[in-house]
Amino acid sequence: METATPRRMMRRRSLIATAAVAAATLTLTACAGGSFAQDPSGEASSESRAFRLGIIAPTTGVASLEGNSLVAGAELAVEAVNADGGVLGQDIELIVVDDKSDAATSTQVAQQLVRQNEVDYILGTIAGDTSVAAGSVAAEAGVPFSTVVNGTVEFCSPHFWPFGASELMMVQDLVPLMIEEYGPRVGLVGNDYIFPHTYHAVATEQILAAGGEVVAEEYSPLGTSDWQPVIGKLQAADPDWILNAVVGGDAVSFMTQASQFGLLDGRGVTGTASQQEFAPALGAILEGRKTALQYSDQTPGAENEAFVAAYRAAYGGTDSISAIAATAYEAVRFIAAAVNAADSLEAEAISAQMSQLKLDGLLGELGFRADNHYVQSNMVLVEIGEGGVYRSLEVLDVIDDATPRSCA
Amino acid sequence: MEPLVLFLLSVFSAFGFYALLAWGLGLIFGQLGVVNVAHGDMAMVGAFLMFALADVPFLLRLLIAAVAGLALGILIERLLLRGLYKHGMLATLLAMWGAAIVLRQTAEAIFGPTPATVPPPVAGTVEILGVSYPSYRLISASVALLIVGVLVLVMYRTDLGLRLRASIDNRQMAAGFGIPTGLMITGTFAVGTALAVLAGALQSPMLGITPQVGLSFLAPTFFAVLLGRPGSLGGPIFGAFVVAVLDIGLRTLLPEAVANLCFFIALIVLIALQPQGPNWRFTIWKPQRRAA
Repeated sequence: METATPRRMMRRRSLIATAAVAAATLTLTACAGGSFAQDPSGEASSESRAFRLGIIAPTTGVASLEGNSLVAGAELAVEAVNADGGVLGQDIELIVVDDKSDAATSTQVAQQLVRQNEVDYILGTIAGDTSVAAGSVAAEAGVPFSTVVNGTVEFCSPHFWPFGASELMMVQDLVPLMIEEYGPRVGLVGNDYIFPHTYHAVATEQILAAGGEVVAEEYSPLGTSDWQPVIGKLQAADPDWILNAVVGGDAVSFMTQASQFGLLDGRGVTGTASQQEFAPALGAILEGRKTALQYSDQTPGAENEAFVAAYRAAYGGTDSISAIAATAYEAVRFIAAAVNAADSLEAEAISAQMSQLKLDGLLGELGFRADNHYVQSNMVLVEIGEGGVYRSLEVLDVIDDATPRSCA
Repeated sequence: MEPLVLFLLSVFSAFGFYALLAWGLGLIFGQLGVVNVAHGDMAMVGAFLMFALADVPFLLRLLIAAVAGLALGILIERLLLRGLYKHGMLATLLAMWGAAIVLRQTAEAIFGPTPATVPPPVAGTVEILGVSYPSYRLISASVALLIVGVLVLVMYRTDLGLRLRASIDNRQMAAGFGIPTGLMITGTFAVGTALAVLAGALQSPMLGITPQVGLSFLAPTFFAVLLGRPGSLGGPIFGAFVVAVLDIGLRTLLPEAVANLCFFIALIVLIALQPQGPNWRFTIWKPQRRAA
């Protein structure tokens, strides 16, 4: 017995090992067989299969607030498109991956989507550097790619179509309005990465053009929790209003501390911290503040009301629906329409339609400039009311951002 | 005059917070030899507790946070660390790294990614030499320093403190004298954790609370501990003061990005110059008199 047991165990182990190898071989054979069976010629028989949409979003990590909004909007749109007949007669196949707002992970998951999942289109992500990382992989593989977050991504390709508002769209109408309401002295504050610097550079041009002046400009690293030195500098500069480009939890820390120090008393404040995501946390601090957004859930219209009802039904809650969720929703609908119009899953055919298509929806008449690929959509001037209600004051005209950029 | 007053008040506020965090971290490092990389995340737990128990009076919430911190500390020490001490510092460091990820993911699963806020119990500002400063910041820092002061007194003026210091200095010899070192270890980790949770709870009205909020506390707190002599009980307090002066001073005088760079360079230089901490023997001011 004492000697038989190890032998039996060894036999059992070798049997398990053999079975495991056999199972693995069968699986690999099945996979390969499936692939060859689908495409014996080696060419993609794309029209015979479902359209595969890959979503890269930081569903965990520092930008998970925005990342989860992106996924929520996109998933809702996929349901709507599928209920409406899908893409090329089939349901969209959605693959969601988490890049944790880390550029190296974005590259990795984008490669996974391209090579392993063989997606036809990639949508995402949030931060500028992660968008560039994912976009580079998509461009190299010739897969169309779109972002939904506001701000210019320092990247372009023939198949890159960003749905988020450019910096010019965000500030062109807002800056003159703030100067008229509060005064010409402006303080700029933001996190220290690409977007806030670009946003403030474009805003500075608009401030100077409107007769204003920048009296302070401060940037803090992402993850800053104590803002008192920055608030002290802003107080010393005594601006009439503050344009902030602080994001995530930092935005809430900055606004909360600025309010506690009395920095916001009698001063205007607008910018990223005025977006819908922060209203539940900032509450009364945002009340009465104005900003320009690509979307407000209070904008009148049957289409918006239907979207709001569907969003509430799917995710519950009463907080304002974020512009990112609405933009992701519209992006998926637009992409689906482009693929249907192209009647093909080929990148060239899809991109040709992306530059020509116009789609009425939550963001007004949505389309793209063919030369620099900037999105063309309405902006909405909103006032934040009690309970975080983003009251739509005015739907602004489409801003045609002709800033030169090579997408060849 | 006003900029100087603002600077001093800001240093005081930052000092209180970092002293409470660093003292707990230093205690755990000195007694257990554990590099607790989850210390910042334990502060995050405290902040979220204050948010989750919004309907409970503020002071009672602080008490609940402290008790919850003790329970969390006992749980982690007994279930996670107890079996790992014999495998060395790397094993406990990796275990705490894992614990930090679990804490963050749990917070994300419960509270979601939307930043949370906690209203301060005392609103408004107080006028000090022409500078208007948020009242709660001063109260919070004062309470934090008071807690640290009481704990230092406990360490130097009570039997419990004596036993704990003996365990820190030489665990085997302390066990030989009948001191229950196992209990001391669990108790130390629980108290260190409770202090971190309490620090986060006190700081919560100034924060946009997210699962990642604790990450930003970790580096300055570690530097505060490293600036003191390893195992020193006064060292982290001194370190926290240096960190507060450097952090606020540099960020007031320089652009933020440059200030952050200079801050970490200055701390690295300080530690490189005095790898065993400063020579000021905080922990032996009483024994020295005995020797004489």
